[in-house]
Amino acid sequence: MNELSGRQAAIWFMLHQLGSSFLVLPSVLAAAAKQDAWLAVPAALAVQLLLIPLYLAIAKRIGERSFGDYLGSLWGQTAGRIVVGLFSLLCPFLILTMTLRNLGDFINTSLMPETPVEMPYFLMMAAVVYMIRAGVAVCGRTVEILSPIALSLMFIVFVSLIPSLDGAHLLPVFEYGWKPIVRGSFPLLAFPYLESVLFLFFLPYIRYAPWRKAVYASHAISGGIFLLLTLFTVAALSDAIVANVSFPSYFVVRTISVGDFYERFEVLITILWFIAIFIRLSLLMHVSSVGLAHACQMNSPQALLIPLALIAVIVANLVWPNMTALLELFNIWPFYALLFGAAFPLAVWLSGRLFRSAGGAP
Amino acid sequence: MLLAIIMGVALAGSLIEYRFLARRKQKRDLIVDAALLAVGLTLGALSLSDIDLPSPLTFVEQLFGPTSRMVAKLLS
Repeated sequence: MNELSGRQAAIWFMLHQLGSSFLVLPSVLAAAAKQDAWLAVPAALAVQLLLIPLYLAIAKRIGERSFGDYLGSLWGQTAGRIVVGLFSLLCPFLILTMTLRNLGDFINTSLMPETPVEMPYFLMMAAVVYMIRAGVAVCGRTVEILSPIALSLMFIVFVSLIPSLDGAHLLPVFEYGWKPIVRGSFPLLAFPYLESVLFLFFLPYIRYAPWRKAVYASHAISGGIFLLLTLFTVAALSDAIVANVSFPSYFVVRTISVGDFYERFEVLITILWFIAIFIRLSLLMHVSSVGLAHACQMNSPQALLIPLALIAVIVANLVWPNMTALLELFNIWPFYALLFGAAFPLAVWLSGRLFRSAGGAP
Repeated sequence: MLLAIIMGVALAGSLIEYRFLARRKQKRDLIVDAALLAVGLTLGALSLSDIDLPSPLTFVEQLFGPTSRMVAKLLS
């Protein structure tokens, strides 16, 4: 208890949400909603605001127990363990491999095309394993130390983009009606926001009140950043270009040039993205190891880190064949994410209400 | 080739881990860990010998592909 302060949790959750979406998302949104891409962000956040009370209601019942223990008290120890084990393999661990692959795709296409992709995987996973082994308190402090760097880099990038913004690229608003906007909000809702169910795994380390604050704060900050990001990329590049480059937020920063001197900011966004991906991977790794360790009734989840990292490195290479498949996946993934981000917590919440006595605190 | 080195590093790291686990007599941890490591090493060996492994996302695509296409039709 109290291993994680409210601020650390908020930053951890926020950078987790920024994680892989920061680089890929504007192109997905612009492909679906054209110049109205930025409107998809508030739409996704509005749906998420309906889901947060569900997570809060579950969190209140969990109290200081781990998520696995709570499920055990609801559905019986064996069923709880099976569900938590399956959940950690199918949700956080699968997302972990996909996030790792995002990193590999980015490095291979934009930064170091000739480096074998296993090398960045290996270095990143080694850092993640090292940090998670050290425990949640250390992760919290790492996140806290890295956050000012990340936020100031983001600030520099956004401010430098202001001269190249062109409001005409955002007009006309609502040209194609509301349907493309809804379609664009699906990937955003699924990619970072429905993963908020994973935050339930952090309740043993932090009290409920700061946890709730952290959840709201992380959604507000990451939502604001996504909104600014899509607005700025579309306004600076026009929706057609944003939809056609794989990493628009990286691309847009390369266009910054003031007086042929103040330029080449892509390094900044790379550093920022590495920090966010590192933190995202560590959160996913923590949740998968804790969940699996509960399922197998192990004493120390740390023992699982090395094999999980090894499997992640190998599976990351085969989750999707190329970037086109990824764009196709963005249409299908939201439904899978709904299963884990909405249907699963709803089932937990309902059974918690039905079996009030077993669920513990009212 | 790099993958083989990574697998070697993972194996070495796990062996060090197992010494601790064995000393603390955490038998269950040891067994689960070793089983997972075996899975990882097998997967690695398979991909090193150029055998096409299926993507874990194929089942997601098969399960939710029809729903996604239906919703896409509704919203276009």
